[in-house]
Amino acid sequence: MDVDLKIENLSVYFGQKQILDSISFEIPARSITAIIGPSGCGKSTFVRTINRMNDRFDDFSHKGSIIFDGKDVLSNDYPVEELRKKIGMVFQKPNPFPKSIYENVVFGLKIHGVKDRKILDETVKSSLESASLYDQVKDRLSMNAYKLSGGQQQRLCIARALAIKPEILLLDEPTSAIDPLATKQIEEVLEQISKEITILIVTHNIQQAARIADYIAFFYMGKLVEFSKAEKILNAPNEKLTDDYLTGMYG
Amino acid sequence: MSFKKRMLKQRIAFLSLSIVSIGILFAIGSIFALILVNGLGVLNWNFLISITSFDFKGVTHGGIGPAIAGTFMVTGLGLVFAVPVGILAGIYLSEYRSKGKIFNVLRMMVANLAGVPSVVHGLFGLAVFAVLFKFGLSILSSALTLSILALPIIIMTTENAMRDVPNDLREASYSLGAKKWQSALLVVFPVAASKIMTGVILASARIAGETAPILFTGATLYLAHYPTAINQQFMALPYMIYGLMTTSINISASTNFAYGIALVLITLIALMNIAIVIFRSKTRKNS
Amino acid sequence: MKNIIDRIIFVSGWVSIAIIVAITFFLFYNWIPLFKTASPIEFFFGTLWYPTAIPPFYGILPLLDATVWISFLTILITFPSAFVLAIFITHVAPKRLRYFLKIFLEIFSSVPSVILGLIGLSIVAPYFQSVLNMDTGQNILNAALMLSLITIPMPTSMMEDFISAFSPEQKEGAQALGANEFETLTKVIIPGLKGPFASIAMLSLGRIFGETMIVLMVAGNAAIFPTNIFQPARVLSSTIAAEMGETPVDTPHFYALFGIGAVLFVMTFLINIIGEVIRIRYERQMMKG
Repeated sequence: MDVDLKIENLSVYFGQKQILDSISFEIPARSITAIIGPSGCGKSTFVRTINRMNDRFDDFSHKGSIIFDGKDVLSNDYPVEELRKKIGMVFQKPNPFPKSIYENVVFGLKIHGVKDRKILDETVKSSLESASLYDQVKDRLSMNAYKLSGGQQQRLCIARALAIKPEILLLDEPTSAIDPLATKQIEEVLEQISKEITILIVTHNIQQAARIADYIAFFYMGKLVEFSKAEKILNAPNEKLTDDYLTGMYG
Repeated sequence: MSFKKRMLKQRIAFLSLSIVSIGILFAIGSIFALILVNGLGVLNWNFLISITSFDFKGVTHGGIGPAIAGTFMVTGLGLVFAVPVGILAGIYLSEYRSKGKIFNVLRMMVANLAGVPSVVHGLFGLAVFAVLFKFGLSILSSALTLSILALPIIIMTTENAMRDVPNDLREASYSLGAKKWQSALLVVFPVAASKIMTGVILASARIAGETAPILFTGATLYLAHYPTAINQQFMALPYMIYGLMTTSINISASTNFAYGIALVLITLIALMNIAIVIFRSKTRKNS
Repeated sequence: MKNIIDRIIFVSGWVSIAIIVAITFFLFYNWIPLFKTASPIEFFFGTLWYPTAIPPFYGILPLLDATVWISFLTILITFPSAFVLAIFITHVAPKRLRYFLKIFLEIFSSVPSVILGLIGLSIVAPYFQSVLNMDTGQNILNAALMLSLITIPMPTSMMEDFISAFSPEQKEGAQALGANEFETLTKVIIPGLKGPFASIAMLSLGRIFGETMIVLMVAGNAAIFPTNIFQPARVLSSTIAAEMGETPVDTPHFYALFGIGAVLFVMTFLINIIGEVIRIRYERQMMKG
């Protein structure tokens, strides 16, 4: 098993409040790891800590480390822009820029200095194809992204994240704001791209985790209760807490 | 008190409120009406473009061409200085803020700068731009002085417009590895741009009508030609109204002339305000 | 890690403070040399302002006195008018009219003050003199009226914002107890707005204090101690405007005018700070509550 991210004793605080408590586990490469748990368990904070989206909050602080390519991404020496280039993110609510579809996809490339028109065009095509959006929008790439449906917008956000060729893609409940049909399409996209990219998806939907995840991490009250292969967690969890959650004792 | 009595009280109160309000609104409306009626009489094409002249009795003839040109030049040049700095300062206040008192102090200073009396700006412009920097009494000195007046208006509207942009767009650009300035200038600013535009128009309307800051930094009552360079003195519409009303020998003739100028000035400013209203309704529709 | 663009943005962000500091510096820098000619006591408490007489007198007390008179009278007219207008717009005027009234007032608020000066001088002053038989039409009352007109839109729109931002729950609370609209207004909304109204009064006062052109044109420009509102007067701001154009650089008169500027600047600065502090404190209270 290839390891892509190694979480070591990670604790996260907002001001005095502890959100995550000594999390340690290893995220396998080129697979889908789902993070599940009741709301408020810290799963969202966890993924946002990985690409340091929480840095801009003044009262954020952490202990422990996240090792990626042999380096601690949480250390101040690690350039945050480089990190985010390698670890992409898709958010809960689709958040395309109010620009054209084309400009949305190439945004990441442009800010990292790519100007070659040919590369940009090719990337737009390949990224949209990976997000299985290309066929629907290929004739209207200059259309404002806001005119797309919610599900299409979310797939555009995936394409936008893929355009800068990340090694890891973080998704924070990416289907919670869109309809079931669009959810299915996105799940298919994720399964497809997980052959090349490590995927870490936060979800409150156990069925979704069951459908797509290779591995599952169960968080509860800021702690990692259990991490294992998906079948193991779903069929025979080690912890009673996990079992209670899966059987719907609380949610 | 019975229900009827209370309703009667409300009626009387609202009725008297209405009478007073309509009185005030009438007074304001009559100012517009007076300017329109008195100004229309002098207004013609010749008045707008030809050069001003005075005869031996001090009566004003000709037109206000150089004054219109002068007002446009100082306002335009003032904006050239104020817009970039003002927008960047607004971006700083909205995008680079962190917790801590220093940002509140900064914000308060912007509000205070907006409250500085315009005649004090004039003194500052005289001391710094005209004397210290040796720009003399000129379009340049006046434009720089006016740019300081425009600055806080532009800063405040930019800050508010940027803050109104939803946070998830910032997160999206950060998550793609954008630096703060890239996120601010490439993502947030384009969304806020039309609201910022209203601030810029508001600022130009404000500085185009100012008299005190240009009074001793470059404006002059009489110029025999159109302004051609920014190191020259200039005529300006508001200053001309003041000059005609306070220095003229033939009051009734110059009063008519002054009303003509006032009509031109008010029309200019009203047009800018209408542009603001249109801009605003557009941004409302888009969001 | 800061790059060049971050630095430009940072510098721009601090420009306003730099300008405030520079204004303060240059006003005082050009004022201090006056004290070689006239002592601070003569400047602040001297009762004569004859800067071009021989020997000259540089006492600003009459100017200060007139400034206080005119500002006080103006705020006395402006504040209640704005209050009435704000209630009219939010509670009485039909909804359709509201939007137009707001735009109307907004456009009026950007009318240059020199135009109000023109009206005061060419219409109000002759009326005062010939119809109301005043000694002169260019007096404190005329200036205060014109000043009020031009100031009214600002406090009106601020009050209007506060009144309409009043939380509907609080309004409904009163109405559920059977209060009609007027009673809700007088018993719930207005008492709740003491803080912001104080702040609005200060901010309007700051504006009136510094307004120059109207007073310069219609107040009659006599540097005397006025005893009633039908007399002419000359205020701090308009003195600078009237005299600076004919004053040679680096003379005592020049320094004295900068001194007036410094006084004006410091006073408006303090008034505005007080207004801002009251506003911020109120907003904080609202956030807590």
